[in-house]
Amino acid sequence: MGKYDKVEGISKRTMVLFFIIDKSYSMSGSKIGAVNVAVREVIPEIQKIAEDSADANIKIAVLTFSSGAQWMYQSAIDAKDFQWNGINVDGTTDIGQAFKLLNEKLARNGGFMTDAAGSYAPAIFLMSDGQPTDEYKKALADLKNNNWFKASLKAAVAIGDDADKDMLAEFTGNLESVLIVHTPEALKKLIRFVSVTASKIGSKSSNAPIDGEVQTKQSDFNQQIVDFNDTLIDSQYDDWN
Amino acid sequence: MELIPLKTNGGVKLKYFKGDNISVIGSSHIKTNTVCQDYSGHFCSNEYGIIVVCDGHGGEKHFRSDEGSKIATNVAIEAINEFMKFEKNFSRKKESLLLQLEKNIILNWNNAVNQHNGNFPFTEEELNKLSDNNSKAVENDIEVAYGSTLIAAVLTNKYCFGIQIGDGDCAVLDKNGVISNHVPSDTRLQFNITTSLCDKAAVQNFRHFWLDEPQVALAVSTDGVRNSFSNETYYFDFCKTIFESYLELPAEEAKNDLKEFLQRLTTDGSGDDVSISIIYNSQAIEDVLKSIEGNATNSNDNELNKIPIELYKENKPEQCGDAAIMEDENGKSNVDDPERNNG
Repeated sequence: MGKYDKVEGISKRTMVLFFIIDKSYSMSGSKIGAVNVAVREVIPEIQKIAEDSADANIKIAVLTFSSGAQWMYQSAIDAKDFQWNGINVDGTTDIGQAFKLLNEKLARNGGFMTDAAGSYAPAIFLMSDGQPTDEYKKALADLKNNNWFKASLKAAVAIGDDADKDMLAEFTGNLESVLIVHTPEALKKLIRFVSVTASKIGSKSSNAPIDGEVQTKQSDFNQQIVDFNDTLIDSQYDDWN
Repeated sequence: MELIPLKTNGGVKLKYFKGDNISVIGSSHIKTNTVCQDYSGHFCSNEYGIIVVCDGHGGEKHFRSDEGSKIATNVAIEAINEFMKFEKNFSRKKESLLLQLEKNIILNWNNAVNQHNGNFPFTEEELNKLSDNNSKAVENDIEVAYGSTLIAAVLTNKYCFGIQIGDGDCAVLDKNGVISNHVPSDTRLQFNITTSLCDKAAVQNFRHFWLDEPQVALAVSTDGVRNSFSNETYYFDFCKTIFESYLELPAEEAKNDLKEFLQRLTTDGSGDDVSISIIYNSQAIEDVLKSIEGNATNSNDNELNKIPIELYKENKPEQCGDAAIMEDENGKSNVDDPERNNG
């Protein structure tokens, strides 16, 4: 194969999995505890998907919001190198700030999509337990005009009955991909399921026709979320003690 | 590979257009025990060469897309051969000519798919695997089960053209040793969303180019190839390496080397099925590639695209040979996909 020894530039494509996490004060106790445990535990599974079965490298980016918003790391990190820093709660629920920062980083220049020539659509997973405390409509409208966001796999979890489910549905684009949980155990299972499923679907190379009602990755994702939700054992009422 | 030495009064001559095609199952498809959904083919005559690659969609409701891509490849070669019989009319507006060709391919593909489905109706086993929505979609429109992309290109002594629906790439090597893609881009084709022969708007979704100048070589490939490279320059360099390999090595050896490399490419790259078909003007490419090599050696510069070459030779009449003598000895169509995995 000598002639081909000089061929350069072979690389896998990249899929970024975004965790957008509410760390407002109302998340204190078992809610943030479940988030910390579940994300820390699912990262090795994502690493294994990246190594064993994905058609793409999987990177992870974490954005937290309370009074303001900030990235856990200043770039998307390869799943195999990602270290989870436990999140502590404080402040309010400035989700508009989170949407603004997310929009900035869903970009090639100055953003996290630096492997643009070889990037799959990202997967974005939003978790929140409350009502927005800042003006989020404009930031969300801007985000929805972002082509990376439009193409992304999206899911949201409403942590308890006080979460703004309508706002979360605005974010994902449909109610099917908004899941409501009432207990720490259900939250942990959900985080694991959504993270693993998004990583599996998002990192696959299969293509889909553009025609009208075709099944895209998002609809495939939604279907799996709905099926999972049907089997999820959870309390009907909030129980975060 | 159709490299056929032909004895003439003047000694041994080589066939003017040479080509090859190869499809290799994706590494991720091997892991998931999925069949190869790509198909490829080529055809060479003394007057022109045709290359085709097709990529079946492979999603749940496209469960016969491996058949769809195979049918598309065969239909395209047949339709283009028919098209080339009317070459004397090619002074007409190229846009309408290519549009007619694309319509013929879509019509023939739909007919062939329906004929296949008539001979081999969907089985209960196939349909039972579908969700309700997908089951309805396939019942309403059986072509959906066979959905595939298609890229076909033709090289002649005077011009070349290419047609494409869906993702994938077409590389044209010109007389200056520069490789470029002339198919207009479709901004909708990103994030693994593609246009398809099974689209209701398939006619509108075709894209094409026509170059009224002799070109040296063409390569078409499914998206699994380009997606294995970090940028287009590396992909074009790879195409150039293929041409060099076929020029320097015996055909069988060149094919084996390419097959081996494609297996590595899908493993280290996209994980997707990978298909490539190539066609080249055997005399012109030798001049161009040797000139590039010479210049590269002199300048210690391997960036081949940067070197202007003016050594392309117009076709000499005697090299075209007699059409009857030069006719393909191995049959009209040379479609195959040796890597096909039906398991």
